[in-house]
Amino acid sequence: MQKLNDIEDINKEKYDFVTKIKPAYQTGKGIDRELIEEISRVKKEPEWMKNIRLKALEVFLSKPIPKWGPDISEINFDEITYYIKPEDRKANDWNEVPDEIKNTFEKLGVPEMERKYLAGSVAQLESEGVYSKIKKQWADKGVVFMDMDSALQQYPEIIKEHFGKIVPPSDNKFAALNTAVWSGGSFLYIPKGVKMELPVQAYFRMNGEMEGQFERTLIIAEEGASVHYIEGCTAPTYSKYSLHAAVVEVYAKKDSKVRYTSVQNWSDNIINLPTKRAWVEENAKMEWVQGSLGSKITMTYPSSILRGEWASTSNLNVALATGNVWKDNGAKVVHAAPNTSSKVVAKSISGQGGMSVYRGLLRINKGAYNSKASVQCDALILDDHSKSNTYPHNEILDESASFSHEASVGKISEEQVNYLMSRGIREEDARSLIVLGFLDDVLKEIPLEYSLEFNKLIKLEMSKMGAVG
Amino acid sequence: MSFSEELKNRKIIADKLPAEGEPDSPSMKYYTTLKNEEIDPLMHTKKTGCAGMQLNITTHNGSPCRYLSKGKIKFKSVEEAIRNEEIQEKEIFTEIYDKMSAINQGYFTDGAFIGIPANYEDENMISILNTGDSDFNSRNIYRIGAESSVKILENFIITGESNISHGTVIRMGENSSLDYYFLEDVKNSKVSYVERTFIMPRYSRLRIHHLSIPGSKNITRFRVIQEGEFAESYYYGATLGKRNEHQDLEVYTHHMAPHGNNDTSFKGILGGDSSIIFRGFIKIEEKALNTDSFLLANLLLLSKEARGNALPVLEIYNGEVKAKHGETVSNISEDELLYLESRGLEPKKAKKLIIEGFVNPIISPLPPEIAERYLDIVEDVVDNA
Repeated sequence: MQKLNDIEDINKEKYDFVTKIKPAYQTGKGIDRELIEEISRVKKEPEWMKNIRLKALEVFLSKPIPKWGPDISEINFDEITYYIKPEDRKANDWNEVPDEIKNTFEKLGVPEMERKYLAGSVAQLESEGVYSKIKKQWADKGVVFMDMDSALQQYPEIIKEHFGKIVPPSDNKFAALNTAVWSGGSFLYIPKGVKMELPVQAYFRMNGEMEGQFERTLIIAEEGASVHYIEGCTAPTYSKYSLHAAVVEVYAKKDSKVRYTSVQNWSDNIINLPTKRAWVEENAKMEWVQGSLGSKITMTYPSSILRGEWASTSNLNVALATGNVWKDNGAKVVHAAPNTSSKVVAKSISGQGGMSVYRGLLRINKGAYNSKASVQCDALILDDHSKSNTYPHNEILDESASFSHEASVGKISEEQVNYLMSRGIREEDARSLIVLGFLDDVLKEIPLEYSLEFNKLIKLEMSKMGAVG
Repeated sequence: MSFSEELKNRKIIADKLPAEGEPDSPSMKYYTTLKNEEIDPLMHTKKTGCAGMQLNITTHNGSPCRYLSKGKIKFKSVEEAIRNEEIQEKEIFTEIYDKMSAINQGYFTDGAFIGIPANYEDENMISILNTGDSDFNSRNIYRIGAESSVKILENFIITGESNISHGTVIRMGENSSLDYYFLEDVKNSKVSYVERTFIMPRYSRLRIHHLSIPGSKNITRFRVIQEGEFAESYYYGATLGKRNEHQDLEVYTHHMAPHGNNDTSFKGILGGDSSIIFRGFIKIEEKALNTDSFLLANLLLLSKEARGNALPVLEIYNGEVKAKHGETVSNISEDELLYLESRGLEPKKAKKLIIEGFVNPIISPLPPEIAERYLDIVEDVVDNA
């Protein structure tokens, strides 16, 4: 049996290192028309993309910072460096990657993971992808997995057809910002009928302070395709903040199945404001799995628009808010076709004064008859000064729909702790065990490698709380 | 701040606050769009006085009427009560929650004061009848003395097509107990804002039974403020919509002190093209340790055009609590219908039985004559569905 207090081999400092890499290219601070034109020029983009960017800039400038949720007014858009290019070349073999960059990802365990169990991976440092690889057997079947900038050069027609359709710049201020200054991200295309048994992974790393990472991810699963996409994110700790505002668009076409797992372990100075959304067509299945450990402020609400009959979606979410952290997580589901179904499970833990929020939208449109939806959100508060809020928003516009929602907030039951202690388990371990049990529904859906890491990180966070864990 | 300054302040806030909230947040959405011309009459209402009403305790268009003496219970206009120094002017105010609450507090023109003395105990109900047939904006104070145990049945009936705003602050005494039956019938009103705010000191117990027939634009707010420790509150409510009613109902429970207890349970039955938004809001402050708070909302949609939204919100600022909410929205289950029909029940009767079962938890604690009256309305809704 694995020792429960075995956390020596893992600590958060694993991610807390800075590699001195002299960027190949970097823009100045602040955002304006010239910056957009400069980014577009450096990337040698087609004219239409530049126009999309410029239009998005106008939307960005015209929208106010949202006043609901956590206070993000500290973001000073004039102080952020929007584009940092670490390396001129893009590699598809780790041996071609310059040593210092390679070391960064070696430390994070990315190449090792790729060898072990991935079908392909993309690695991004700052604003650009530095490495991408898809194993030959999948490339032969027509699967494309590369960084978004290269994809724009190689498959401009596909990008033009799908870019910004699901998340238009007008959606929200940060989607507009991303559309204006996007760089990097991954492009994944799975042709008709191809079922990928092994997952693919994108790893995003931010290295500096007062910088922004604005990756743009586009996933297209053609009819009958299936894929599991994993996203991992880390950054070192600084005293000043950095901004991460990604946009993810997923097309799950007829009969396809897409699972999007994201394990976010940002350091405590990152403000994380991504917009993630999927269009789910007839009989397709979209699964969002999200583990959110770090960051200073996170606002993320992965959404699924169920557009075709019998489409389904699930959204599993785990968030840990310890210390001066505000986790604003949730899910959005729109049932726009008959016989669609959705399930949302959100679990959050707050300790040491942390704030965890569930904020969700579930809408069953008129005519989406016989749709079924359930939302469950549970929160665990570990001490007296931590907080948890729940704002589920449900709009049921069809009488034949069936909908249920459940939420609970509570603390670790002393009875359970006593029970475990009477069986010879130390109090600290008993508490960790109960917390892991609380998260079990979601943790078992996270790939094994991540799940182990996640378990250890939670134990580490718990052990930091002293008396509590 | 003096009373007139506070009043002025509220008027300024009422003018400033937007009728609609932040549109881009899923949790802050304002559900009832109010036009300026609908809100405006509420800022310019006049006292109308009574129209020969003489019941136990009555108000007409917000003005208190004569009543048959009920022993020690005081009943007069708020103005008079302030003049006699029976209440302080400031007691009429509470926190400002939104635009409509600010309009009610800033622009009210009339109001009734009901004072129940300390140690008052009566098994019989105190019956209050509020009627209205033209625009009015009133704010009332009910005070329940310490250690008393009271049952109040309040009927609220609007007969004219009018815009109304009717707020009441119910200030309970320590260790007092109140059973509050509120029958709201505002189906004839254009825009109605009905607010009941309960201020609960320590050891007070409150049971709210709320049955409602909303109008085309009805905003109803129940706010339970548990200021003292060991306060206990229950809300059982049901709403019936059968034509084009719209109700925006919020039950807000604010736990400010330790050892509070709360149970909120709401059922909505919606036929025709009626719509309802039910917002159950539980807020537990940092010092309100050992609080248990529960919320349950079930909506039953009977027709294709009916719409139901349920928004249960939990805001919890400490870890020593138990809080839960659950909600469901569905139509009558075909399985249940089939089961009853296979036992020889006519479809209509089977439906009726299912609906009666659905509202039973809310109706059964009521006095039989009220329960029967309500069940008649339920039958009517089913017949029309």
